[in-house]
Amino acid sequence: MNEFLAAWLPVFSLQAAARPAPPPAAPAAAIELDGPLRRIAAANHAARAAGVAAGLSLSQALAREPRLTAFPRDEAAEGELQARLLAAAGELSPRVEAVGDDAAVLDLTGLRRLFGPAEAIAARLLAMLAAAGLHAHAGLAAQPALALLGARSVGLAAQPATGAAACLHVPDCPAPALARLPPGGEAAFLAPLPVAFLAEIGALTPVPPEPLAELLELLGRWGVATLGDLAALPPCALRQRLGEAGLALRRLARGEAGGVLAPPPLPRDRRRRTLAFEPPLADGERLRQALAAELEALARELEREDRMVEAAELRLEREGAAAQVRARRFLTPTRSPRDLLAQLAPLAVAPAPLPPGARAGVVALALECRVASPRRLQPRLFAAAAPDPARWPKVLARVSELAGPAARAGSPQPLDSHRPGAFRLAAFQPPPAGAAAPAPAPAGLALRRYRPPRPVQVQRANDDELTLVGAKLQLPPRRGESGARQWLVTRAAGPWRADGQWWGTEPWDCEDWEIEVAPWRRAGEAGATSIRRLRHDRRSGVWQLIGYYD
Amino acid sequence: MSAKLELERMLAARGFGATLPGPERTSPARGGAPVPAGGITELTPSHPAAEGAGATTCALRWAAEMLRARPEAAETGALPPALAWVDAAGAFDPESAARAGLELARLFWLRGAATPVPALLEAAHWLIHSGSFLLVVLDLLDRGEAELRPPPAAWFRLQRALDRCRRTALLVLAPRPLCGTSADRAWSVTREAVLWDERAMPLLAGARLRLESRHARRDGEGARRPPARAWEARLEWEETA
Repeated sequence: MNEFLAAWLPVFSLQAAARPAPPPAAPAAAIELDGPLRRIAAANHAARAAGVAAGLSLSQALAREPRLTAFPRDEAAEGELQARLLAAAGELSPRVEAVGDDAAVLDLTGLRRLFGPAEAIAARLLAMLAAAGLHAHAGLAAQPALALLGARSVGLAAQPATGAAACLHVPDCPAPALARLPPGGEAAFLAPLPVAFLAEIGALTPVPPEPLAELLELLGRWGVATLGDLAALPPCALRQRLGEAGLALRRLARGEAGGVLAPPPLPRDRRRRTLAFEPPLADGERLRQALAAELEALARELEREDRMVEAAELRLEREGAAAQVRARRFLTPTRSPRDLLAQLAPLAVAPAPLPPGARAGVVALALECRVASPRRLQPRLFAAAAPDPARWPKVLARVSELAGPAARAGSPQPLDSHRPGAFRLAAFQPPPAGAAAPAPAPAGLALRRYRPPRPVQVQRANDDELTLVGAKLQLPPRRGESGARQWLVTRAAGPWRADGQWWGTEPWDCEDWEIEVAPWRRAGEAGATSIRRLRHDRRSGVWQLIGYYD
Repeated sequence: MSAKLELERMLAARGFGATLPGPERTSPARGGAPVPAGGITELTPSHPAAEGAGATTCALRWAAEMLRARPEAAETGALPPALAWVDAAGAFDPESAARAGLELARLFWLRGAATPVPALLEAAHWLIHSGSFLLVVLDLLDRGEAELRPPPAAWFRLQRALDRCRRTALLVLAPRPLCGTSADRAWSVTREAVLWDERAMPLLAGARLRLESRHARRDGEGARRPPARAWEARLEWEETA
């Protein structure tokens, strides 16, 4: 038999607005702006008992209950509360549906071997929510809608049902509580609940919201106040008057409604967590501990969804200072809370330059992570395991570090310039394997460059500027040598002139030669020649050997 | 014969040979690739003092051919083919590489002109060990003789790393033979002639290079072959500048 567990956060908006404090027991309400008016969005039981209801303006509410404490509604906190609820539910069951903002329903099928009986799972969920600072009630039933009705009915049994409006005054139980709808006894359990509860279970109601409101109003005019009254109505007559929707509501009231859970939304690629500190945190260690707790929760969530953190951004708000944003991109995506903390904690606790008069205390910390799915590798029987390209940066960084501080590494990219040899080193990110291979280019002799180019003195054999044949090249002596080296140019091709950037700050104007040279004393010997590239800087008149062809 | 090798042969006999990576048939006489995966190939000028014998031209051509062949489609799934060039002299020229048909985006270039040779050997070891590259080129040309004294057993260790990886090939460019018996293939290159086009104005047309296999340690079946002249092969082409 299927079992479903529903968790519901009473006075959701007020819980979120009052965070991190628990929901107050004294009259309190969450207010929202409606144009110029401030209206009540949610009120706790003490406020509702004094006549404060959602929709009243704040002045009307204060007139009814002068002790009312008003909290501005915080939608961001509500989103975080819902995320915590779903995260806790997701840790227990892979099939979870969010119902509205304040409730979640879990399918417990097959979980007995993991967590024990349904009551134990419910107790575990309530404990987890309490540990996360959430005030929740739970319901257990054979159908999702019934489980949520059960969770919402917690505390109602203590109050006699005198009418629909009175029944909605559910006391806010100070402790988490569980309502179980026994199999076969659902109708008896639901019978005292007000009919208006059917509008409180959101998408689990078998009727769309607008027709449902009309039907409930009609039932109210008929004097049908409770689900027991609705279940007792004759089906044929109900169908004649209300149609299939009426029958569906009756089936739900009798505990006969079926239902399946809707699939959860797709995992998001960004996760946001916000921490607010009151009073502001000036102690770096406490800030680190708060961040560690958040990262633990995030890691559990990512583990459940099989996602990894690729990059993270921390936004720190300090007293009297502008917000600071610090980002970190991970070489290897990870979801290990230890690794995440090791990377992010230094960013969070690093001292910040503050303007005069500003204090160092952190008021709020927002963490935004970009997440992605881990890469899957298929091992082969005989081949070595294919490496993960996500680990390339780590390997390449290690190799670059080995090569020393003067070494540079990357992928050469030619620049959009006619300047000979212009390129830049970019990060090594090879295109995917499926990318088309370039067409084979005509092969040529490879040049080996001298970096930096070697200065050389050129003595032409004649005054002809269009040839270098017969010229003598004189190179400075190498280390350990006494005399200069001299070469004879036996063949030459060129000059190949190029100039550019004459309008800028780094103009260049040069001519290149491809020359075949032989040592001066061995000019006639076979095999003693080499082919080199010679450059003449026409602006400075300097000759340089650029490299040799190999 | 090891059990693994025997199993590979049995599977190959049943038509699964295409899935088995292994040393390629590398003899030019057999028409195979000159740089075997899973081993060291050494390429040296025929004369240590010869500057411009054509070793870099050969290396670039082989690298471009290996990247174009893209064996990763059969063996390594979606891993992009890539090449690492450990440049001990800082002499690598990207323009020449592009002209040789090399896809520069797939090239990881480590410029270590001031790096000691042992550190570059270690870097090559890590690159091989990562298994991410089809070819690692260790370019030790233009390094002085005093620097070409790698740690003992360095080449043996590299050869063992390649043997484990089996996907990566190591090509060592050196002014003289360094790898000894650790090299699976050893080539020497000679520039026989410089080609000039004198029809209108002098143009450098290229060079005629000659490759000789100095020795081959084992063939595609894993058995040892006697080094030597029996494997001597020549590969000639004319380069156009």
